[in-house]
Amino acid sequence: MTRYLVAEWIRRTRLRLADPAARPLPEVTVGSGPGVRGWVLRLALAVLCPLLLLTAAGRSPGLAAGLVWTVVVLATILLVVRPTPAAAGGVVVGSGVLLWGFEPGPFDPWSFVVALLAYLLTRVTWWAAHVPPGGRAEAAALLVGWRRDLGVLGATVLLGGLAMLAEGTTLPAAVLLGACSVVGIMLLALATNGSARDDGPSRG
Amino acid sequence: MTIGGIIVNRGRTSQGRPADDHHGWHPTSAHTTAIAVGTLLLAISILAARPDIALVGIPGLLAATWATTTRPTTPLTTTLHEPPGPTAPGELAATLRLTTAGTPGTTPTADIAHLRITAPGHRDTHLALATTRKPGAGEAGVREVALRLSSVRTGPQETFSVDVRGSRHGLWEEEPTEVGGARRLVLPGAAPLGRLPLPRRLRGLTGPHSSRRLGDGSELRDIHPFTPGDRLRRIDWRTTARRSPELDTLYVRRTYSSAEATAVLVVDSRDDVGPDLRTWRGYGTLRVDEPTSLDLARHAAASVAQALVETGDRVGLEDLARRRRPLPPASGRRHLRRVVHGLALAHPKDRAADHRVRPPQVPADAVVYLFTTVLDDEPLHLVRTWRAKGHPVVVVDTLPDLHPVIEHHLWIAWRIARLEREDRLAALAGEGVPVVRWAGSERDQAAVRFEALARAAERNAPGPSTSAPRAAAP
Repeated sequence: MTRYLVAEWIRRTRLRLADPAARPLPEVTVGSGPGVRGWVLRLALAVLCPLLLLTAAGRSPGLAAGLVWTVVVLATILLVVRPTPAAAGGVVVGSGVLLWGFEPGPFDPWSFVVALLAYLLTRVTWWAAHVPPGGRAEAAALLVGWRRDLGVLGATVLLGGLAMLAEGTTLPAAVLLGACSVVGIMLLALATNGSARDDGPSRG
Repeated sequence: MTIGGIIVNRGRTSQGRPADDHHGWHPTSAHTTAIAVGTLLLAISILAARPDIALVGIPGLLAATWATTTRPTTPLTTTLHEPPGPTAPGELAATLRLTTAGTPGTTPTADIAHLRITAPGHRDTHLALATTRKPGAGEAGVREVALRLSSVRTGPQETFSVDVRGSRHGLWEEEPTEVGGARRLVLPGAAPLGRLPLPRRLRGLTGPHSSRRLGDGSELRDIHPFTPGDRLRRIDWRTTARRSPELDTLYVRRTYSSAEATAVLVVDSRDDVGPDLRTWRGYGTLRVDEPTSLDLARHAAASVAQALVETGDRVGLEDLARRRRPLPPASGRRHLRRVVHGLALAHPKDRAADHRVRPPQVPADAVVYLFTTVLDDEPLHLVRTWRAKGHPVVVVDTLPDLHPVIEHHLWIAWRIARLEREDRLAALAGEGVPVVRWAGSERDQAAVRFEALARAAERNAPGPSTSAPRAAAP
């Protein structure tokens, strides 16, 4: 009896493994250029998120290692599982807090690297949110906004450089000017002429 | 269509206002998040007196500012182009045309198109594409994407449904739109076949075969003394000179008349079963990359029809599941197209067999090709009735090769069904009805099997031996 049951179990297992009906459904063939699968974008997130947080935390030696690693693991899991702009924003704010380390200090040049990684993480998160793991993003689409990204990063470096130069000065006007420029950028960004669910311009 | 939360029909809102500049563009949550993160980091940097912290949020703020100044104004237009008319198996294709009203570099418009392509029996395909291609790669502002299904099924088939959403800079998004393909008819293909079993008695006065009747043909029957009614051009002067030197009797060459064969293809489309037994219960999805019994029947019938029409014979079509007029036997390419079209439209119908009180009428002296799965007794009754009326019958078994089953109850049910089916096939073989299998690896052997049947019938058939395809089915 036992021998029969074992043989039956082996037969069923073999059939289940070789079941042709269990294979995935076919995919629609799309004539597009070379692309990147969605899971690759999530993999990139799994690399970028710890890199960003550890780079930021590395500039604050006073932080407890256990706390940092806990934050890194939780944030990475959150981003890989739910790659939403809000999650990415939380990680970026977290990296800023880790960079601060709750300690006053001079302008840290590593903040350029942190800003670059934060922007990269935000962009990759946007792509991961729009391309499911089994989906595909065309390489040409991934590179669509590279000029804008370079411009943004160049402007960031310029602003950071100015901030570094103004840090040593005792001119309150320069600090005020820097703060005003950042606030001005923020206000410009807010001027979207409509709500998030825009119904178009109002008509008289 | 919904644009920006407003229902727009034919370019107007529900209030009747024109919706020309409502293109459904709205900022994404990434835009809002970038501003919120930048503001928060700025506040932290002020509190901590650390300007480097504010720098972390600056790129996002700058990108949001850039996006604000370049708000898109023109929509992404998507159309699906499908070739007109029926198509062949494995060739269900279409072209998706993405049109941006302006150039993404100059006019603010979508730079990325997010597609979700769905098709019955296929996985959903998610794809992000650039709306423009490299310069010189095609019409400006137009991107064409080729789509193709992996279906090997025949008959009426649903095709693509594509959801499209345009986005710009990752910070502006458009309301999604949907484009769909039409239901298309996939005609069965035809495999080349050699000779086929033909009826014992041929009909007509013209055709590719020689009948056993006297008449105008090319096959010599005998030399016969001239009788009234014989044509003068048929006088064989050499034979006359040899046999009747005095010319008191003239001799003529008599020939067999030419004739054509008539075949009726009967497709048992009452059921359509796939290789997966779990789908036989009436629910479950039949895979589109595996042919079902009806696909095999259509393919086999189209192959037989093409082989017969190519030799000049007449072919008719009967569909067991449909109560409509059958296609009467005829020959020619145009009629072949009608037959193939009729095969593509054959499909199961609930309790269609209950309406048939007697077998389909078959023209006299016609051979019947029955394409069936032999899963019930009905084909057996049909074959016996036709044979009783003197029609030779060839059964083409179209049950696909089945996958092994794991479920015990299904396995037992299939064992019982298989034993009953084997009994029916054995009964057919016992009554001398040839059964040709048309599934899996045995499909390649079908042409050889038909050839063997044709030769066997040729050896047993009375009358002239011809070089033209002529044989009688057992």
